[in-house]
Amino acid sequence: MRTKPMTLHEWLINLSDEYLIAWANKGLMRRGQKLLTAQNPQTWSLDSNRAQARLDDTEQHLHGIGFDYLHCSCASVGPCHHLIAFLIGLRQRLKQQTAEIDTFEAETNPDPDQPSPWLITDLLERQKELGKSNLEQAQRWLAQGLESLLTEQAEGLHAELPEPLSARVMIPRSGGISMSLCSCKEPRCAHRALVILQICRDSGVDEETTVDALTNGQREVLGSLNQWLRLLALQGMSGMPRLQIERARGLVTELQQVDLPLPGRQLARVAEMLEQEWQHQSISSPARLRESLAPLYANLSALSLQPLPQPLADLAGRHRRRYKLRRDLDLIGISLEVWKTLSGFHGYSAYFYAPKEDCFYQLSEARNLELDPNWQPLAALNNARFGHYRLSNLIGSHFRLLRGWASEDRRLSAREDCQLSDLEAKTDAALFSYASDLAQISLQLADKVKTNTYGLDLDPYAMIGVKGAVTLSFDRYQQHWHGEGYDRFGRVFKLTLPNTAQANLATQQLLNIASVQALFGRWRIQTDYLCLEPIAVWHDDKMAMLRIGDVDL
Amino acid sequence: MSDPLLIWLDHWSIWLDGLLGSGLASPGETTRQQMQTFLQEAEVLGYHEQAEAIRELLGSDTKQQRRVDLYYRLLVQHDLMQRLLRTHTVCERYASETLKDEN
Repeated sequence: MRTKPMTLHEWLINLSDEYLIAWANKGLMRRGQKLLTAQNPQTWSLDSNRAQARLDDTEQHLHGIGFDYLHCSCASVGPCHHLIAFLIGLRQRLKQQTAEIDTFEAETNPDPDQPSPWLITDLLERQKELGKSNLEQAQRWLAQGLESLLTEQAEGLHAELPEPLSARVMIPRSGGISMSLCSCKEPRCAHRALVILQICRDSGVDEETTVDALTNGQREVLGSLNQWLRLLALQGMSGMPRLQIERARGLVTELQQVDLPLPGRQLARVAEMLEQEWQHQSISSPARLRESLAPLYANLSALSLQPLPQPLADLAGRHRRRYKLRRDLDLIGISLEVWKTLSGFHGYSAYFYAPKEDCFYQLSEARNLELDPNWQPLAALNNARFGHYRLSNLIGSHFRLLRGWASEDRRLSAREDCQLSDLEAKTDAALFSYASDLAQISLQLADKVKTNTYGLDLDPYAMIGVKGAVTLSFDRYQQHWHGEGYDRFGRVFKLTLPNTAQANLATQQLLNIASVQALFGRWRIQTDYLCLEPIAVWHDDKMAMLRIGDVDL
Repeated sequence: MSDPLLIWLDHWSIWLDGLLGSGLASPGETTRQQMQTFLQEAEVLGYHEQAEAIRELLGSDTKQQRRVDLYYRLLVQHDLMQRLLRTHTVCERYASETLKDEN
C-alpha cells in the first residue's frame, strides 16, 4: 500500500528535532538553534522545489526531498550547524504560513484514511526499499525473539531496538521508509527491516515466520549433543567410557564456539558429574546427574522448536555480559568472596547493596583453571581496584558510583574510568539493618522459577537477621557441610557450605559463634526449605567474611 | 499438596535414577517393577500422559530412539514438577509462618 507522493514542504514541516538529531547530533542541533536566533528565515528563498539561504558567510541549498539534496558551502563533510539552522528555519517559516491558512492541523496530524507508510504489505516493494539480505537478517532476528519497542507519534514512528542490536529507527509519516533514519547511519539496514517486518506481522499481514532462528553450525552441534545424550541414556552413567566424557568436553567447546554458551555450561556440569562417577567419588549419584541433565535437555528441546518459545538469548545464553553506563548508583560494600566452580573456573567477587533498589550488585573477576592455573584469586583480589579505591577498602563503606557500568543481571564492571564519590564509613552493626525477610526471599526465588526455570543460575543474594547459634555437620556422602539456623522470629532455614579449604575455615568460624546476629549469602530452595550458602556473618556487632580464608586484605 | 503426589514423585525419581544408572539398553528387573508401580499410581492419580509414556517406554516394540526421547521427556517433566512443588511448599511455609508471627 503506497502513500500519496510527498511534497518538499511536507517533508520540511515534518522534520522533528529528534529526526534532525538522529541525522546530525545533539551538539550540531544546539549550535544550529543558536545560529538561527540571529536569522530571519522569511528573507530566504523558498519555492515548491527548492530553498536557499546565506548564513555566516556560507550558502545553503536544498533542491529535493531528503538530506541527500542538501548542500552547504562550509568546509564540513556531511551535516553541519548551518544546515541544521537552515532546516529549522524553513520548518518554522512553513509552520507559520500553514497556521495562517489554517491547514496546519491537516498536514501534521495523521489522516485516519491514509495508510501508515511503515505498513509495507507488498513483498516486492519491501525488498526494493529494504534489500533482500537485510530482510533475511531481520527475519532471523524476529525468529530469535528480538523485537523493537514502537512508539507512533504525529510526525512518525520511533523504534527502539533491543540489545544486542541497540539501534534507533525513525520513520517519518511523510516520506516513509525512504526518508527514514537509523542510528547505525546506513542508508538501508536490517534494523529498519526488523521494524517493518514486526509491524507487518503484528498487523496480520505476514504469517508467522518460518525462518530458522539458529544457524546451520548451531544445528549441527546441537545434533551432536543429541547423539551424545542418546548414548548416555542408553549406556547409563556407569557405562559411559572415558572417551565419551572427553567427547562431552569437546562439545562444550563447540557449543561456546557457535554462540550457545548456556547449553555449554550445562553440559560442562554434566561432564563433571560423569568424571566424578568415573573416579568413583562418593558424591557421585544418578540423582545429582539427573538434576543436571534436566536443564540441559529442557533447553535443547526448546532450541529445537520453531518458532522459539523464548528469545534465543534466554536459551543460548551470552558469552559476555553487556554493561550499560550507570550514573549515581548508591552502593554499600557488604562482603568479599573467593570461589571455585564445578565447571572449572576460579575467581573472587565483591558484593554491594543498593539501598534505593533494595538488591545486591556484584563485581567479579574469574579465570579458567585449566587455561590460567597460576592466577591466584586472593592475590588478584588484594590488588583489585574499583575507581580509584582498592576494592577491599570499599567493604563497610557507603559511596556513590558517579559513573560506572552495570549489566542487566546486576554485575558491575571495574573499568578504569569508573568514578566513585568519597567513602562514608558504616559501622558493621549498621550494615545488617538491611536484612531481608524469609518470605520475601522465597517470593524472589518463586519469581525466578516462574519467569525462566532453566535460565542462568542467578540465585538471589540477601542478608537475614539471625537468632542464636547455627548448627553445621559434615556429610561425608555428599561431601558438603549442612546445617540449620533460625531467623529473628525463630523460623528455621537450612545452611550449606562446600568442602573447600575456605569453606572449611568458614565452618569452624561459624561454629565458634554463640550468638549470630546476621548472615549474608546466596539463597536457593533445598528439600522444601530456604537454604543459605553464607558469605559473611555478623556477631558481637562485627562482620566477618567467611569465604576468603584467614587472610587480612 | 497431597501426600500421594509426593510419594508418586519420589517413586518417579527412583526409576529415573535406576535407568540412568544402568542405561535404557539394559534396565534391571527391579527398575522395571518400579516403573510398573509408577504406571499404576499415575493412572490412579489421573496423570494419563505420564502413564501412556511409561507404557510405551516399557513396551517391547518401542524403538530405541523413541525410548530415549520418552525417558528424557519424563525426566524433565519430573524435574519441573519437583521444582514447582518445592517452590510452592517453601512459599507457603514462610508466608504462613510470617502470618503466624504477625498474629
